[in-house]
Amino acid sequence: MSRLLLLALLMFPVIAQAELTIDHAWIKNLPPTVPVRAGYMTIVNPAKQAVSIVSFSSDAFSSIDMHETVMKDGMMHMQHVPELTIEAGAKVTLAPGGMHMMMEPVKPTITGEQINITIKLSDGSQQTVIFTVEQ
Amino acid sequence: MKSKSSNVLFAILALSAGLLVSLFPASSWSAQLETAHRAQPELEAITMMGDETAALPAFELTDHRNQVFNNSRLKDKWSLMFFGYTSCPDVCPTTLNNISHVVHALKDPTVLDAVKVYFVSVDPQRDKPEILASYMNYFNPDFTAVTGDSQMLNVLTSALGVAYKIKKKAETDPVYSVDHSGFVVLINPQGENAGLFFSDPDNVQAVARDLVRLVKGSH
Ligand SMILES: [Cu+2]
Repeated sequence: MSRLLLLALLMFPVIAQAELTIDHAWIKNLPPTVPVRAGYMTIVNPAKQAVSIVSFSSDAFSSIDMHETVMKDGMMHMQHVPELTIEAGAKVTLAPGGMHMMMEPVKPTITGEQINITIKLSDGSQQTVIFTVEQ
Repeated sequence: MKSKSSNVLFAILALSAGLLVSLFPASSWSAQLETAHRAQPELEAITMMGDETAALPAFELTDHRNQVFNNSRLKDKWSLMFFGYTSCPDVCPTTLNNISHVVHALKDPTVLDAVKVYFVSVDPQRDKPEILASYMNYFNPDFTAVTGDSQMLNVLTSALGVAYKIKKKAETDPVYSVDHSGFVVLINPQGENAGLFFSDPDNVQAVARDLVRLVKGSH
């Protein structure tokens, strides 16, 4: 049975859906009095075509948006990024002071805790990433 | 590949330099330079105000221990002051972490004692003293958070060239962000606006070295 399946897979290669390579996915912990958290990660798109992150979802957060910290009128300003496109073979880093996921936790986060976040992509696929809450 | 004329020029320059040194002995030169630079040492990461160094107007805010925070609290210490709000997910935690690393890098107890860190919340509506207390406790219990009414905050921010803007969509909007300046202000032991720097994980050691130079230089 499994041999047959393997054979079938070899004979009819499936059209691969985009799968991003995610590294160091983490959330900056903050005291329980703070209603927001920032999430960071390094994203590589190993595919031959560009793909965009269109949305996020998680049971642990009531909302997750992509933001970019930019200098505007001499002030640090958080700008909403509706869709983050990662070109074929490109790497995008979400890091403190720049691009980040802006999240509203449903309950206080704990250092060391692991939280699943699902990333929805422009080709309709989705993948779940484990984020670690760091001090 | 030196041409003859550049050799001649070099000789003239060398001669005139020698003449200047003999006219103005080393001691008077350095004395003049020191007054011009307010006896400041060479720094790597902190930009000093130099001639723009200015006393702060009288202000009165409240710290996270419910104590009065006014000009007199700044006397005899080098103060690092950062303006933000606790509901800030990215810039404020990152900056406070960086400053915490700077303080850890100071090591020398004399220097540590001479440097104080202040987080000034420009969001007094949400940042009540108990919220500021939990925030400071989380980052560094030695840091002090302060806030006050917007009028008083504005006295301090305008004197320091700090800008901020509360981005409320409606008066009752509970979730809002605040745009604010990203630099850290340095206040000297006379309580004057003395300098600034942008904190970065890459300049932690350089800022720490600058603080050592300033503390040692002011003794
Ligand atoms: Cu944000």
